[in-house]
Amino acid sequence: MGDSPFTGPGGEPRLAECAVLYFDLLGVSAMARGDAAETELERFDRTIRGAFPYPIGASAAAEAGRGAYPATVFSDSVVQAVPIPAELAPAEPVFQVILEVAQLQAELTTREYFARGAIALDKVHHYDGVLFGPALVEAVSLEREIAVDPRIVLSPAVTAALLRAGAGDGPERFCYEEAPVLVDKDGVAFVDYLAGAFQADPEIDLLERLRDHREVVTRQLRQNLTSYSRWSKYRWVAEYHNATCLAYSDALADRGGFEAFLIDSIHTKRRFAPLTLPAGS
Amino acid sequence: MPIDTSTLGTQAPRTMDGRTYPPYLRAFERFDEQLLSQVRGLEEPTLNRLAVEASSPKVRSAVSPWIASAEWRGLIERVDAAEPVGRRRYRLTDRGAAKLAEFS
Repeated sequence: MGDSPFTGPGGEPRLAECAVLYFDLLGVSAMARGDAAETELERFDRTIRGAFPYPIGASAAAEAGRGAYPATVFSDSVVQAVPIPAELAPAEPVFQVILEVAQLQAELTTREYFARGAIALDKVHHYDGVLFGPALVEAVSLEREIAVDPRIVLSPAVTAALLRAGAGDGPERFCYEEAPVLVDKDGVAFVDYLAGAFQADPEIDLLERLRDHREVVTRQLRQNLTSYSRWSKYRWVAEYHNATCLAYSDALADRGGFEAFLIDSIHTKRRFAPLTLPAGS
Repeated sequence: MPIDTSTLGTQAPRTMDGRTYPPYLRAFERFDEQLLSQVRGLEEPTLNRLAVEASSPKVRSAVSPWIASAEWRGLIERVDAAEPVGRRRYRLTDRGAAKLAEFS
């Protein structure tokens, strides 16, 4: 890949049509401030480099041949831009990003990192440490204002591209009906990361992964009981986890039933207490 | 969970825990000749290496879904199953080598 879509013939910066993935990882900022920041850095670095299928680093984008779709990581934020060549329907690279991010999210949750972000479709420049353009602005805005919970949402243009491809015909028509995308109660489409990982990776042990996911989410719910803002985000993940168990009820039927894999509602119900004076006052 | 080997070579590969080959991956089977050949030629490449060496942007954007499709069909396998995605390397299986031979 000697020629970058992000530079012109004389090396001048250019915007290129891309599927842009942007997400941040819950809790990473807090980890960077704590006494254990050095240990957390080591864990974070190892996890993100292992889970991401392409090289990470601002300079990687400029190094021909090193990375197909390099990512940039800044504190708790991750950005990747996948250029959309003129000869391709946008749905194909978009689908690639969805499938990859599903596996990435699933992998990150096993290390207790939960991602919240967006995939947008528009122009961006991502080269040699410079990130600029409307697709990035939109993805960041979606992450902050729409995603809210630990989910990676699809922009309206991304959703439309998928639906258009699904409605087409011909030998290269993609069948997106069972793609790992769900629509939430607010009408927003998001990456169904557990299903994506189960579909894309036949080597995953479904039962083991669901048990691990349940344990990680339950632990986060317990640890964040006194912070409603954080707790409510893991509550969303718990509901998503339980919906996934139900979706895989056939596969779980002779392994004790899907109920055996659910996160108990004792962890997801809000609790109220009467107003009392603090002890000793 | 490994593939149920009795389902390999059929239109509906399944895992031992009952998951089935996702229909949307069929669209990527058209890249078999090119990418199987690349897996053989590059000697245990990673996903990134396959994408970097892809002959066109179209093939490049198909690499990761194709890997999923090829694993489901038992055409490629991981060199070290414990490696995370970023460091995972792939090689042809006997079935993959036979499939590649069909194209020549």
